[in-house]
Amino acid sequence: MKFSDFVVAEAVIPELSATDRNAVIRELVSALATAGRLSAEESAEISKAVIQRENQGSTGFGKGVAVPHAKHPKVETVIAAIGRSSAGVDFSALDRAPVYTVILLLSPPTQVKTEASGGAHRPDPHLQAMENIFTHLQRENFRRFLRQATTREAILDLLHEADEMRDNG
Amino acid sequence: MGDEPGNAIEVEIEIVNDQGLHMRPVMRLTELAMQFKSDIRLCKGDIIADARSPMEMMLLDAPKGTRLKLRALGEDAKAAVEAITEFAARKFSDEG
Repeated sequence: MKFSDFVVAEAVIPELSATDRNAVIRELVSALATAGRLSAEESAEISKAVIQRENQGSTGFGKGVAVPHAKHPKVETVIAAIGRSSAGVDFSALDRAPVYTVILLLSPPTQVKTEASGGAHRPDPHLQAMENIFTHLQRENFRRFLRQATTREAILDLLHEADEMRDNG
Repeated sequence: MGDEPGNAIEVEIEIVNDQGLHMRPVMRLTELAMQFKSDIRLCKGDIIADARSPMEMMLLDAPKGTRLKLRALGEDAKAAVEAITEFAARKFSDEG
């Protein structure tokens, strides 16, 4: 699964307004709602679910990135929003360092279709999306460029390049 | 104390929690691994992950039932292997 299969372009926020963890999660979920991927009511409920999951264990795995995520029945396909904070946000990360890039991933509880497959049955797309995210996040250059990208277009270009790299090899 | 490398220890562990080795267990396992000085690796076939790197661990793709090799090398290797084996058997404190 590629970034273009699940990242909602309109929900890529090059400079987050929020400055704390819960507000960042709400801002990213709201961006998915604004993009027409969730309703306003769903967005409140889903934000709460993501925050609850985050309270059970931080997804700030260090190196300036956090990947809050949840499976929720109101979510129909795997979708993601990406936010960048130049000031950094406290996510109680593993390395205690601020988080500058947040990738919020939402999935249905049981997967039957994906953006890309048009409904074909596939093995858990949530895990496939996670595998894609972590494959790229392992690369220091990818993390650095993501943190340095100051516009939505620059972030989307970076994701596109990552997808192409995957296609080619 | 000292720089004695100690013995390399390798055991097999099984992932027994329903959700497999997903992100939160990975984070907890990483925190546990960080408490030891030994070099600790989890291996699935050719994929070898540093237990202190959540990103590498996330790529192990280890659902319930997966058997992983746990390798530790260093002065506290034995304690590390015992702690991680026990933690895995307790489903990484994951009720999932």
